[in-house]
Amino acid sequence: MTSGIPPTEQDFELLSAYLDGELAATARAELESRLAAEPALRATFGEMQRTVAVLKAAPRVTPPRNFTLDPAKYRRAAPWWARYRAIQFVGALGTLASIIIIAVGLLSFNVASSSLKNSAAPASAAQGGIVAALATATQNPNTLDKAQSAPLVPALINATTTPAASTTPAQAADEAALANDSTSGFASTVVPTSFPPFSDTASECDEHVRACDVRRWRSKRSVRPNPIAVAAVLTCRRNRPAGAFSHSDWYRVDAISFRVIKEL
Amino acid sequence: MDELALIREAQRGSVESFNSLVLHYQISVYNLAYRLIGEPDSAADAAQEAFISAYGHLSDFRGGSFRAWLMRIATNACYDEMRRRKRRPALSLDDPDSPMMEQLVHPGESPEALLQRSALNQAIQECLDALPDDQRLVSVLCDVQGYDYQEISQIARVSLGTVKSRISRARQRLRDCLQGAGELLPESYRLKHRDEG
Repeated sequence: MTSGIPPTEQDFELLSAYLDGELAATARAELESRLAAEPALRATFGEMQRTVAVLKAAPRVTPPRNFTLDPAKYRRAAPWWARYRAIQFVGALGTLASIIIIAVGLLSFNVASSSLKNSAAPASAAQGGIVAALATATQNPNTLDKAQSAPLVPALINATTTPAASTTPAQAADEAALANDSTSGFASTVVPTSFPPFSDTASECDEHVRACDVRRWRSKRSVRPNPIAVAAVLTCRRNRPAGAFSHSDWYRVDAISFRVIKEL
Repeated sequence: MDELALIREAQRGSVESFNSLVLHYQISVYNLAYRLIGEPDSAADAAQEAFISAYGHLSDFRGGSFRAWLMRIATNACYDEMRRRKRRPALSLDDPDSPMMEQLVHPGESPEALLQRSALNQAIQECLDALPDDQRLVSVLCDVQGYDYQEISQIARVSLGTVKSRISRARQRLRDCLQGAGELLPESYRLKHRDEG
């Protein structure tokens, strides 16, 4: 059955897209059915094909000359940073180095955090023994003399686990100074890196640090540094969040419970 | 030709690398200009302006089709040329010294073949000249130079739907025009009217 209706504008657009392979599958199938059934549509499509064939046969015109640019006239300097490959190479190296440093720093921080958390549980049994031993000693940390404190230090040393991977220069200096502090009687000791478990919260850590500031204890010759308090300070300093401690008051801390006894 | 490498070198300031790109694309650019403007001298001016502009804006090219990017610049140069210059009448094909004839010559081609191609060229160009600018552009890009709809959309900065409708309308007009050209077309290219059967 044929249709005598001339193709519409929409038909022409469909035929044009069909000729260029730009019709979707469904529309293409529908149009092909119509082409088979409608002679007028088929004739119009034939005319379109011949029109496009004529246009495609249009002669390719040779340019009258080359359009290349005169280098003397159009040469431009590249940006100074692009001119020298060495500068670019150094820049790339610097970027790579920065990335590596940041990655190492992040990894170190994560290792330090996980190692200290892991050391708390295994060390708790040994440290519980230390606490018990302390309980038999004097209750006043200020009168803890050398004879009583010295045996505690090796016990603390035995309770250590893997040292924290990262310390600030100030912490490292403190530890080195402690190890060599002859006035305190700890010249031969190794500063412990683990400690009796206590809370990791910033506020409790701050309290301990405030109470047991090593450098200030050492400046007060009348008071011997408490080795447990020393370890508490060092551990706290490694674990506390940045900026958690910025305080300068003095406290006396109970060596067993680590509760603040008195503000000095 | 490693086009990407040439583009990068050209962006760093190498005129020689850019000239390699010019030699590769100048025939396409010139033919686009000629078909849009219709005059060989103006088309050459527009093509030269297009390459100068492309060199000056190389930093704006950030990937994708360099050909489409270049043709976009060439199109703008053609429109500028058409606005700037008065179009000269078409040169007589009987003039053996006419520049257009020289540009159509193929080595070893017979005079009869040259005349036939010249006649075809003239008929096509007259029908293209009769189109509105926007339809002429898509018709030249699609039917004369063979770009696909996606590239035409990028060059003409219009949607695919607009490309389809403009091509369709252009083909209708060209069909009617070429049917009217009749005897001017070489016999093998003549479009018969429907009532001729």
